[in-house]
Amino acid sequence: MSFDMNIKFFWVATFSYLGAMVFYLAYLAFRNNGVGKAATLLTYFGFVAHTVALGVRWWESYKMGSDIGHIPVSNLFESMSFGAWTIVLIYMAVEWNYKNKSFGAFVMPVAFLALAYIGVAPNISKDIEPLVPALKSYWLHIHVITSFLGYAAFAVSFGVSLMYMIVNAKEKDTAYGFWTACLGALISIILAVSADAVAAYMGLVADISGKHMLSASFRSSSTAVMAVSYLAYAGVLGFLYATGMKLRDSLARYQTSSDMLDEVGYKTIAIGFPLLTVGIITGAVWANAAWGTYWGWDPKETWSLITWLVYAAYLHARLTRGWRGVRAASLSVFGFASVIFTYLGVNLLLSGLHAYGATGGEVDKTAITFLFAFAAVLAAYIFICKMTSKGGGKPE
Amino acid sequence: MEEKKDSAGESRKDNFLTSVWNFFTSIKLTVFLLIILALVSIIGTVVDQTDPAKNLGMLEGMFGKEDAPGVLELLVDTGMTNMYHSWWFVLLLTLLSTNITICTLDRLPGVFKIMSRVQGPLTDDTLKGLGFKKEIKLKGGMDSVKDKARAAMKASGFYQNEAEDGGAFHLYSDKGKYSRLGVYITHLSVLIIFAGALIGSFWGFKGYAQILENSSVTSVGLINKPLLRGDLGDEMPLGFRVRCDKFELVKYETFGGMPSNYLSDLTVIDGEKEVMKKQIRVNDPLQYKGIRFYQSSYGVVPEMATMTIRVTATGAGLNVKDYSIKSNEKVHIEGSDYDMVITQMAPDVAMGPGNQLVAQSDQFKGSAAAIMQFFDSHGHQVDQAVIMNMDPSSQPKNVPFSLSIMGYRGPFYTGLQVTYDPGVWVVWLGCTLMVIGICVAFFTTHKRVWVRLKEGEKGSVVITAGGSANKNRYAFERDFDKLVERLGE
Repeated sequence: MSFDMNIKFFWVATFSYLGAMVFYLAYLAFRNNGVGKAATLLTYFGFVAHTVALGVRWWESYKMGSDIGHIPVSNLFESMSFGAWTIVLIYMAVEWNYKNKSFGAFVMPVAFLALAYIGVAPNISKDIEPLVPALKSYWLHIHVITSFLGYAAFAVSFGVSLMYMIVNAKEKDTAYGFWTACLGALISIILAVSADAVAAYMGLVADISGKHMLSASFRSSSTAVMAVSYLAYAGVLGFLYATGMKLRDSLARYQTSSDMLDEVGYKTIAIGFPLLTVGIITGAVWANAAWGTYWGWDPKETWSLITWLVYAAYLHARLTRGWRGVRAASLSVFGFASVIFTYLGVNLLLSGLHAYGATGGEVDKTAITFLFAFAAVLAAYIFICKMTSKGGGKPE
Repeated sequence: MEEKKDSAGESRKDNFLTSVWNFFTSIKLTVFLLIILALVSIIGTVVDQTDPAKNLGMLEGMFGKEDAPGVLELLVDTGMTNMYHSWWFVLLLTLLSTNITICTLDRLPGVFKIMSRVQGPLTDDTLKGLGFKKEIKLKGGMDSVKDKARAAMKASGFYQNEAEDGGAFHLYSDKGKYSRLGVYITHLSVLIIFAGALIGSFWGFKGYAQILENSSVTSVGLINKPLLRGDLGDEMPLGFRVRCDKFELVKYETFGGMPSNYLSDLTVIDGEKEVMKKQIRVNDPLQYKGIRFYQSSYGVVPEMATMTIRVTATGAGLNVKDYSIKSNEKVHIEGSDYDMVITQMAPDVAMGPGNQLVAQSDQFKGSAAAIMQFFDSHGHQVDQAVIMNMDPSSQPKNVPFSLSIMGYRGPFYTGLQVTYDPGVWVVWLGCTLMVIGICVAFFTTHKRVWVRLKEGEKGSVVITAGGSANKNRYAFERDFDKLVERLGE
């Protein structure tokens, strides 16, 4: 008996998200309501298929043996699939609540890409695997679910904050440079990961997971491919810097109020922060049950704390110092960079005790470069904000 | 919540204590500390905190082989390799705690004052200061409008008080006052968690014990000593005895024997009496007198293990017999003049670089190997051979036997992490308060609503509605607009 029914539903979901992505982008370009509706319908359809895929996988794991059955969040494949599911869930809630489809073009590519990536990566196993003893705990459910819902809320806040900065661009100032750089980095990462997936699918690279991520572009063994990738990256950044105002104009046609974007950017963090808090606390309770230490400063724990601190700083700055608009939005971007590192960077690039993708051994140079860049830019940013701060705005 | 208080005027400004106080009431300091803590924590995730020497490889890659030891020394001296316990990290946490405490002391009296304020009917003065207000005129008698307004307030969930004064009719409500405390509960929870961590490091300990099956321990090796017990050596006496009755490694039936669980049957003996028995497993420890025993590792004691050797006489008769032998134990081979000794045994080996045998695990596999010596009746060594199941041709030449390895068994030891942390309940209390505090802070709002009805011209009624909310203003605006819409119906 084979247990791959869940994989069939998984591919249905993946291709529905691909369709939804195309329709959302077309909607952004042509503003045709029919296209927008099709995009939403495909998203709903994909989400249902995705939910079935997760449910069937859970059920199939129990069919394999009662001691094997477990919630499907235990390895990289399951965890990224569940992560994409939570992002689509939160996105659908935001689209429904704010009756606005323009964020879809930002969210669906991420969901599609996450699924396509784990679907084609040759070294990411799609098989159901039994749990290692350390993961056998009731805390697995609550810890993973709260953490992922928190991450997804932060992801939506990130997308909305980016949009806020685009819609409110007035001149080519520091803020303009900041958001074009962020959007450029996001698009380049999406392109690079797509290149990974395509190269892996065509058999051009042997492995794209873990330390071999981006091996079809920025970290290719071929100097030529690497050089072309960096040139393309520079090209994307230059193109966005040159045409950013056009992007603003096309987004502005949706007449999304910038107050609303600012509010959604905050509201999603106000939802994500308690979820992250519960995620960290349940992690501590679990660690105490497994090892007798509720806090061991392992890289995963520490990075979740760093993320928590960045969002705590955001909330203090916003609620008591009156930070709004671009300053709040860019802090949300930093928060999300730290979420991504907590979720993927720690496992792929640093060693740790957590389940999926741990590579062990030495710290990767890419990780150090990223961390230095993150720390330097965040420090410089806070410094600039302090210099230009004209005292607090009105507290709520 | 403005950052500076100047109620006492300029004269106190030169007072040193006041300027220290003002420094610590600053939210700028809070944001600064949070970001600095986030930034320095990054260092600890790159620099290995468990063993300074583990960083050498990374430093050699970054600074070259020659400079790496010097850089490592610098990292050790500045506390970077044990940074979460370094003086400067503790100083940052102390500053944050002081910041939280002073901010709370500074602002809490004001919040209590707001909370204890009794809401009265709407006055024109109050109306001026309100963020939300609306005036509508309705036709109809006062009494019918009164009923309508009452119903509207009820439908919006704001119906609480009524009053009549100077010809005006008032409805007003003051709800969710406690929402203002959410922030302070959250801040208090951080301090409680810190207190719990301090209690743990002053009085708690962390240790490790290896207990062989059917044996027991009365003390454990210390990994972290209680800070207040400088007199302790490397061992922590438990005050009772813990015995391991059995260790069991459970494997999945499929998946190549991947481990499914590690189980240890433990018995606690206190004053010669067996007081507790429990089978512990990963995620399910035993607790006695506050001391917890966690399943952490296991292994076989090689000196006590036995290997089963099948000896086949190659001469007449093909006599076959199995012997279970410990290391370095001389055993007579029946029906012959020879003795044999295993000098080294390995249940699972692989061929490493340079044709060296490398031990893989302590599980018996097809790849078991043993180095054996053979002696004649005078005690002289006559042969030595490496017996390998991977290579059946590897056999002794000077004795008439062929040998193979049939099994390997040893008493297991169970490796237990042992902790005592009297602060852990304080930490959980803090965590619970933190979740409550954050939920109160984000998801509840202090809402005040007033509605005033006054007789207007020509038998009309003027309705004035006002409201205020301390947060979630967009949500409140929707509620308020809905109320006004209901009032106008």
